[in-house]
Amino acid sequence: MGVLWGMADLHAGLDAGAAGPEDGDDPATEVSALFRARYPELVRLADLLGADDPEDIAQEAFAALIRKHGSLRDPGAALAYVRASVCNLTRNRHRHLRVVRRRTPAGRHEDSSEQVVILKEEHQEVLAALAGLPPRTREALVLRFWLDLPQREIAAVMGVSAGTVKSHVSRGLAALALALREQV
Amino acid sequence: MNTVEDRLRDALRERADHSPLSSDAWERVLVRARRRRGFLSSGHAWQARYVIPALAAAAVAGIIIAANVVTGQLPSSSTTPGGGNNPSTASPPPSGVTPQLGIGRLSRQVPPSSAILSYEYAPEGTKIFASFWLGYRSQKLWFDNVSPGIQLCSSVFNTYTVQQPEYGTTGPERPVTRGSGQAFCRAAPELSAEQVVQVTGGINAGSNTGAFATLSMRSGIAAAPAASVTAVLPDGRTFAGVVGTGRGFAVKVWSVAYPPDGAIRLVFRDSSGHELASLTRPAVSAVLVPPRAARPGSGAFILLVTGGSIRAYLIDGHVGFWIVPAGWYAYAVPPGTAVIAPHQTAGGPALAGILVSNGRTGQGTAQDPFRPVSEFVGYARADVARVVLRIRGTGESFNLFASTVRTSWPGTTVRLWYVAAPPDIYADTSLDTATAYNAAGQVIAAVHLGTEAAP
Repeated sequence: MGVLWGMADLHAGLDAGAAGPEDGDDPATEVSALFRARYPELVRLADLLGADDPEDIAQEAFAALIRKHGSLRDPGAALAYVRASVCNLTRNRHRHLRVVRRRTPAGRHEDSSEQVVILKEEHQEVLAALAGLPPRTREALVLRFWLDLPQREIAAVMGVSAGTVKSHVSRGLAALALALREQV
Repeated sequence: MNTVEDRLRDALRERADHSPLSSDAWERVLVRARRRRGFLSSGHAWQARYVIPALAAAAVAGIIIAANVVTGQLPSSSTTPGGGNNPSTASPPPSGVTPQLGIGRLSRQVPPSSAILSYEYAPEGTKIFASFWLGYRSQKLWFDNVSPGIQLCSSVFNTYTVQQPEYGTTGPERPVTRGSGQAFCRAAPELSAEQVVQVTGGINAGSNTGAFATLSMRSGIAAAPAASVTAVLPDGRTFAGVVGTGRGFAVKVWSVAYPPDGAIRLVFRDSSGHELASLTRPAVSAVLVPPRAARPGSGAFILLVTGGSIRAYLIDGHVGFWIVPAGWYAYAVPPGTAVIAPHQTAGGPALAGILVSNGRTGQGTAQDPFRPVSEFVGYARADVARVVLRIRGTGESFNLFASTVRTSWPGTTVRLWYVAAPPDIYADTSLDTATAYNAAGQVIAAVHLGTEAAP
């Protein structure tokens, strides 16, 4: 129905001087299909894991996939790879921010005001409780209850055993139950 | 009864709906890939010329649809209005530049480069003033992460409280005076080819939402054919909003307010009454990611805080508090935002106070991170020596908390105060009070928390 206020300059910043197309697999092209299908999911995953800039995390994960794509043994594992990247990058980001905050107490990631207003209060309570869990436990719960992944796939994404996943989920739910009960 | 699993699923699902998505994400991915490993310089540079533009365009086409979480749905068959109740109230669409209500401070930071679309309508008798304009950010902008390029700014408020909402931050801002509306700028949104309408902002009703305590409001953009928007409640009541456009706008801009109801449906029609699109439960899916408030570079007083940080600034003669709680939510004032006092400090009120957070801020001890904490911050006149908060306890009991008052900016008589209440103290901004005393112990002023006394 119309592009408004000027379409973003999609081509800005890209190298243009080059030879013509050539045969061969193009990782970007192959990854682009996955990107179109899964980018929102990956952003949301990073967001639910508490990333302060979820898009940054998801984009870095896809960039890593482009770089890695040729060496993936199983192209079908690309989704698991990028999910795992999001988890790892978010975890690293939290670690980095902890160090930074120790030196300079400053703002941390907050939901936008609009998000806070829009979210239901009961959901805010649950999410606040979730945010207080250890990162690995939080990952397991998000992968299990938001993405509905089976234990085996969660284990692959987290790089742990299925038993460890089970333990994280169990402990996480118990911690949530305790926290929510105390908030009543 | 909901299990923890159910509650977690619901919360995650709703929260995920609010995640930000930008339209140029794929391009950024490609730039990243190129930077890190020489993706484009190792025999693949041609891709930049041939593949990337096509992919970027394709990705944008795909992602915009996904990013615009609220998307108008074309009806399966055209319908005409008249089947339901008539709109309760409506005002004619704006035309050109109309009185520019309440856009003062924000419009100085993002000067309008378009017409200012000013709407006025009155659902349930409460007048709503909504203004929209396009502009480029200026050096005066107090935001730290506004996207570059042209901005869509909006200001929405009503007469329930004040006529002059205060700006300088983004998101549904809460001036010291209770409730006023919201004012913010965001990167100007676009409609994809399939889109008819998009929600760009809104406020949900709630006991703590001040000006909109009995209303929900949504605003956004719509394709050119859209001529009207109506909120339809499940009980059949309808509330007309406004749709209009003006110089510089390639789209329509709309706004509608209605009593809070989760099952609300917004119906958009063209000039002949045919339904173009409808949005169901826009409250759930409305996504807006306003930039966080920036902290001005100098003049800050850091007020002690148990978790995050509160910094006080003197901005154009107004006291502003930049607030970043440790927990990611607060009730009375949204976190990661700022409040700017509506009154200038010179000749201003004797006492002003706001509730920063109330309840579970998630900033408790490591052993118990969910212990509720309430924090209060405010400013006062020079003759105020002490501020005492009176917060209801159980039954008829009250908790009293005394705050020390400190001097502030040289050349001013402004004093700042801050109180962190112990865990498990909940404040009600409409009932609990702050009282200012002078050095002799005499009461100078008393205000409800969340309010500013009249000058």
